[in-house]
Amino acid sequence: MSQTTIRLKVCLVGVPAVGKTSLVRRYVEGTFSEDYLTTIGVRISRKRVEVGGEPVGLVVWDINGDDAFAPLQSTYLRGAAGFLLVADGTRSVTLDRVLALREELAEAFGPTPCVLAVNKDDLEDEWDVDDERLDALRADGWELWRTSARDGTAVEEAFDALARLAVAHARG
Amino acid sequence: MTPDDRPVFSPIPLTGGDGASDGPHEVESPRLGTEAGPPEALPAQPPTSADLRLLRRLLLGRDGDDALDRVSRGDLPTAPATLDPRSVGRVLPDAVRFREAEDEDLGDALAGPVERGLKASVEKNPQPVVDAIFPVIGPAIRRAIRHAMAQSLESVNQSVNYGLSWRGLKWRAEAWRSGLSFGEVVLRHTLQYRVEEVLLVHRETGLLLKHVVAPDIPGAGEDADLVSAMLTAVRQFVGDSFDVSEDDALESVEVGDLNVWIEPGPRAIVAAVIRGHPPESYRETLRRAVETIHAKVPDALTRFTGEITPFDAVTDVLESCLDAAYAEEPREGLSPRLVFLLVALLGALVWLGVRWWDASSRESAYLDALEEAPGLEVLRTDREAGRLVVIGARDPLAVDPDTFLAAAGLEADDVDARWVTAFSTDTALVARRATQAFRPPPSVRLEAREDGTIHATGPASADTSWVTPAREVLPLVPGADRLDLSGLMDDLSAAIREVEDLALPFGDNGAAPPPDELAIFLARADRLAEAARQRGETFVLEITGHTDDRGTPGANRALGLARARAVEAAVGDRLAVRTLSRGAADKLGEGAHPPSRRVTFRVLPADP
Repeated sequence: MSQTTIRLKVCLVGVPAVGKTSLVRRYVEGTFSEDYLTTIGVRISRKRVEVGGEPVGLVVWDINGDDAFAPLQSTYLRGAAGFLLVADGTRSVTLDRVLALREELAEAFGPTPCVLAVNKDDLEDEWDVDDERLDALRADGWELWRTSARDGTAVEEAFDALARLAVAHARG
Repeated sequence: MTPDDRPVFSPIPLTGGDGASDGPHEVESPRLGTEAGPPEALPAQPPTSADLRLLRRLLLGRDGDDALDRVSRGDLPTAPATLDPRSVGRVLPDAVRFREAEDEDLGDALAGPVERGLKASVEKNPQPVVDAIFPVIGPAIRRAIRHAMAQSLESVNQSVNYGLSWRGLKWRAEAWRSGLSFGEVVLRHTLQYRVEEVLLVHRETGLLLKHVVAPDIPGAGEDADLVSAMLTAVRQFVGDSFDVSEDDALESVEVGDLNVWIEPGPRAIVAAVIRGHPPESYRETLRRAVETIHAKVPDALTRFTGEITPFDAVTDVLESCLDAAYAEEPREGLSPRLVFLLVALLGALVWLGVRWWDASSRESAYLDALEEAPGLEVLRTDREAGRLVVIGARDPLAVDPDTFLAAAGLEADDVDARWVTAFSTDTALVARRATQAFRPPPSVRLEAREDGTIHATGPASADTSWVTPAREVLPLVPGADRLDLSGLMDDLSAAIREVEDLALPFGDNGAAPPPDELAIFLARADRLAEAARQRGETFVLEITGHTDDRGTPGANRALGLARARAVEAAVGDRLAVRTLSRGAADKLGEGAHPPSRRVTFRVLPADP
C-alpha cells in the first residue's frame, strides 16, 4: 500500500442503538478492543481509503451513544474533519435528533462536512422514515445514504463520501 | 468661509494650494498674506511685521524647516484637541524611545495596561500566548531547575559513590537469601530500558503526524495511528473525568513492562513507547524534542489539516528520542574493582616472591660456597630478625668465610655468622697442617690420605733431618696418624720413574718421533745413564712401539717396531736398548686413536 500522505479524523455521532458501532465494524480494518468503548466512551478504528487516487488514512472515532446526547461537551469531537451522523431508519425520532445535532456541531466546531447514514435499511417492515423526507433532505444538500450494517448496503459508500468531503474540506 | 472664522495659520492652504508641494519656502509671509487676503481684511488691530515674526518664531521655533514640516503634517503643538491618530502613530515609536531614554515613567505607566491586556488575551484565548512563550519558557525552566539541582547533585553523587560498595554487598546478600544468582539480582536492580517507538501526535485530532521505530522491534509501529488516537482519547478522557488540564492529565501509561511516556506541547504531543523503566532524565529528552518540533515546524502544526508529509522534517528529532541507551549492563564474573584488588595482591605476592627468591638464592650461593670451602663446615642455619644466621665450624687454616659474602651479593649486615674453631679432616688442610708442623725441605711434598696417612714424596737425597721431629709431633697434628716415607726415592729410582712415566706420541701412520717430546725424553735418558753410572749399575731400556687398531695386525706390528727403532736410533749409545712392538695390542682406544700411537719405555735390570 502506498504511503499515506493525509490523515483525517472522522467521528460517528448519533443517539444510542442506531447501529453506529455495527457500521464501523462493517467498514474498518483495524480497531482497538471494544472494552474501551464502555470504559472511556470512544472506540477508535482505522481505515485506509483512496480519494481521487490519493491514499488517505481515516481514523474513525465512534463516540459512545450516551455521550452523543451531549456531544458539545465531548472533547472527543475536537478536530474532526467530518461527521458521520447516524440515524435509525426504524425510529424517525433518531433522525430528528441527529439533524438537530448537526446544528449544534456546526455551532461548536464551525462548518464541518457531514454525511447522514439512515441505518437499518434491511428492516423494511419497520421502516419509519418517509422517502419524501429523505428526498427533501437530499435536495437540501445532504449527502444521505440508506445503509445497512447487517448486509453492508451502502456502508462503504457512506464512508467514502465522508472521506471525499473531509479531504476536500481539509484542502480548503 | 469668512475671514472671521478662518484660522490665521490654517494648514489647509499649505497642503491644498497649488504651490504647497514646492517646498517649505513657499510658506513665507507674503504668500500667506496673499492667501489670507490683504492685511486690512483681518480683524481689527492688524499685527505688525515684528509681531508676525515674533509669532512665527514662537510657533515654528528657530528651526523653521522642521517646524514647517510638522505644520504641513497637521501636527500642531498648539492644537492638541485636533490630534490626528495617524500622526500620533507616526511619532509614537520615536516618542516612546525618547521618553524611555529620559526616565522610567513610561514603563511605570504602561505596566498596568500591559498586565490587563495580557490577562484579557489569556482569558479570551490562551493559545497564542502559549504558542509564543512555549519555546522560551521551556529552556528557561530547565535552566532554573538545573541551577537548583546542581547543588543537591553533588551530595547525591557522593552518597551514590559511598553506596557503591555497600550496594554490591547488599545485592550479594539478597542473592544469597533469595537463592537467585547474583546476576539476576543485579538485573532486577539495574535500571534498563529501551525506547521502542516514538510518536508525534497532533494534539487536537489525535492524528499521528510522524512516528519512528527502533530497529529490530518486531511488529512495532503497525498500529501507531490507532495508538496515537487512543492515547489522545485516553488523555482527553482523563482530563474530562478528573477535571484537570490535558497537560496535567496523563504523563505516562504503564502496560506490563511497556511504558508510554507522554510529553505534551501546545500543538503536538510526543509519546515514547518504552520497554522497562527509563530514568527521569529521559523526560528531559522528550521535553526538548517537543520544543524543537514546535520551533521547527510551527506553521505545519498550527495550520494542520491532515497533511502529514511536512512532519518528515522532524524525523531526526523523533529518532533522537529513540534512546537505545541501556542502563548499566549486568556484568558477568568479577567486578573491575575486585580484579584490580586481585591484580594488586598478585603483584605484591610476585614482588615479595621475587625478593624472597632473590635473597634466598643469594644466601644459598653463600652457603654453597661455605660448604665447598675446605675447613668450613656449616652446622646449622637460622633466621633472626630477617638476617641469616650461620652456625658452623671453622678450621684456622680455612679461607676467611667473609670473602664469600661479596661473591654471593650479600652485605656483611645480611648475615650473622658464628664460627667455632675446629680442625678439619679435609685432606688438603691436613696436608697443610702437617707441612706447617713437620717443616720438610721444599723438595719434599706431603699429601694427606683419608685414612690419616701423611705421604711424603720427593728425592731420597733430600735432607731427612725433618723426619725424626715429625714423628714426635705427629700425634699432635689433627688428622695425621701415620707418616709414610715410601715416596722418598733416590736419584736412580727417580730417574727410572721419570723415564718410565714418559710416552712419546706419534703422528698418523708415521714413525718419526716428535722432536720436542723426544728432547725431553733424551734429557731424562741422560740423567738415568748418569745415575746408573754413579751407582755402577747397568740397565736395559726397553722401547715398545704401539699403534692404533686401524690396519692389519701385521702392518701394525711393523709400524710399532719402526717407531721403537726410530727412538732407539735417537737414544744412540746412551743406554743399552731393546726394541719390541705390541702393534695395537695395548691400544688405548678404538679405531683411529692418536693417543694409542706411541712409544713407551721400561727400565730393566741388565741381564747378568
